[in-house]
Amino acid sequence: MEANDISWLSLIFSLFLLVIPIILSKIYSLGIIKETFISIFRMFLQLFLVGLFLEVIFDKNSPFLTAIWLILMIGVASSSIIYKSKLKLKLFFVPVFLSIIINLGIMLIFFNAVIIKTNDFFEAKYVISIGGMLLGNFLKGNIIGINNFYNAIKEKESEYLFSLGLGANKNEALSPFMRNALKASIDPTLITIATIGLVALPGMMTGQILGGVSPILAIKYQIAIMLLIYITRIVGVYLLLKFTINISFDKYGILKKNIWEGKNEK
Amino acid sequence: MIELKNIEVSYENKTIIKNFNMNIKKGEKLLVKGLSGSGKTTILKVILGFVKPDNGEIFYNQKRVTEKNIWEIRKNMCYVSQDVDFPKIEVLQIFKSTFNYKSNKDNILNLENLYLELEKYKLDKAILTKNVKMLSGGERERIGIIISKLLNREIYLLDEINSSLDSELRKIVVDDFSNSKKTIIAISHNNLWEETGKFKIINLERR
Repeated sequence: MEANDISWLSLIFSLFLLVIPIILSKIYSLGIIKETFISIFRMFLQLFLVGLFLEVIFDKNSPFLTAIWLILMIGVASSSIIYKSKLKLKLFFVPVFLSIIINLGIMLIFFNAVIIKTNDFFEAKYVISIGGMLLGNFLKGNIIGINNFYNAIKEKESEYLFSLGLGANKNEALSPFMRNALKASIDPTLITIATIGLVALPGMMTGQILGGVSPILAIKYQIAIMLLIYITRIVGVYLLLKFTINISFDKYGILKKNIWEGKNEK
Repeated sequence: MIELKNIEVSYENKTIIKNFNMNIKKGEKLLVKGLSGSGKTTILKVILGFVKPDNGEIFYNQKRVTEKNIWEIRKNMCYVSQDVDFPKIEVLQIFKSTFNYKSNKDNILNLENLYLELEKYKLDKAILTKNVKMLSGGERERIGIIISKLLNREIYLLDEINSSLDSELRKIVVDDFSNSKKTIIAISHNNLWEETGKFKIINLERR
């Protein structure tokens, strides 16, 4: 059993559904018409290009191409994490990139070697699809974590300085901030895991079932992937903070003032 | 014990402190006075290495303070500020986590002493089971003071620590510190410290 093909014509037909948001936008002056068209157009273009690339990459299945693709994805993810947290790209790119590549690398090897036991560690199909899914998921976690951490240090500087002033070393004084950032970023994942299957069917499972895989195999994949999502999320935030702390605090243990993008805030 | 030489600090192109000199010996007590904005807090922060001066030198026991030895030096000090704040956890946990710092490992939290201090500062034992969120500014201040006292450090840097307390408590704080043998640098607006007659006084002008 294979998924039914979707013709390009029927995809274009489905664009007519956009009449609904357009009408609503007119009635309530939501001002989303232009944005809707731009977003939909971007989606078409991006996915079309990705589809083309993946056709080639899966077909060639060359470790080199796969690696390049993965590195590219990680690069884009790193810059969007830094951009969203308003930190300086130049300063933070390397530590953020390293934290992701180490985390993702180990987890992908674990997935390929231990869970699905493929002989080909670099099989493009698995590396790219699983890698992409993990990346997308812990991207959110990283953004929450890094934002939570640096904003808290900025806002509660007196709390941090008080600990330093009582003889804490940098790690000791930062540990309450680490704790909050880790919790803030994994809490949503824990909720998702606890309600999975009840509230919504996860996308990967749906995809596999449509692709003709038996539901039992689909849930096995889903369970494995949820575990990896959880682990990569918490490890991701941990490594991210550990790596960036080295560059964002000076040797006296004080948060540097020039780590933010734009004007130097206090 | 601590010597500051020709300290100059500026922030956003404004000079906050210029040509500041200070020398304090072991057991001495110093009161820094001056209007707000005169850089009093900055001086304490310079001593702690929280603010780096643009010019000048800091010595601790005749040794120049650097980024390497500052961590050791901080272990001999205790800094309590007026806006003292803690993570939002149970008060007793604050005491415990502070005493768990590696630098405090020889220092064991003695509950008997803790209870005595609570009594002295007119706090009920029940406060230990409250979350920091529930404390008033004055209660936080006193908890900060008690932690610092229990740590039993050589040098105390006190930044307006009695500003959020009532007059009776202020008196208790001032008497407590001025009768101790510790080396103290205090900053304050009110006259209580000066009236003890135990403090050398430095007056800062506003710039």
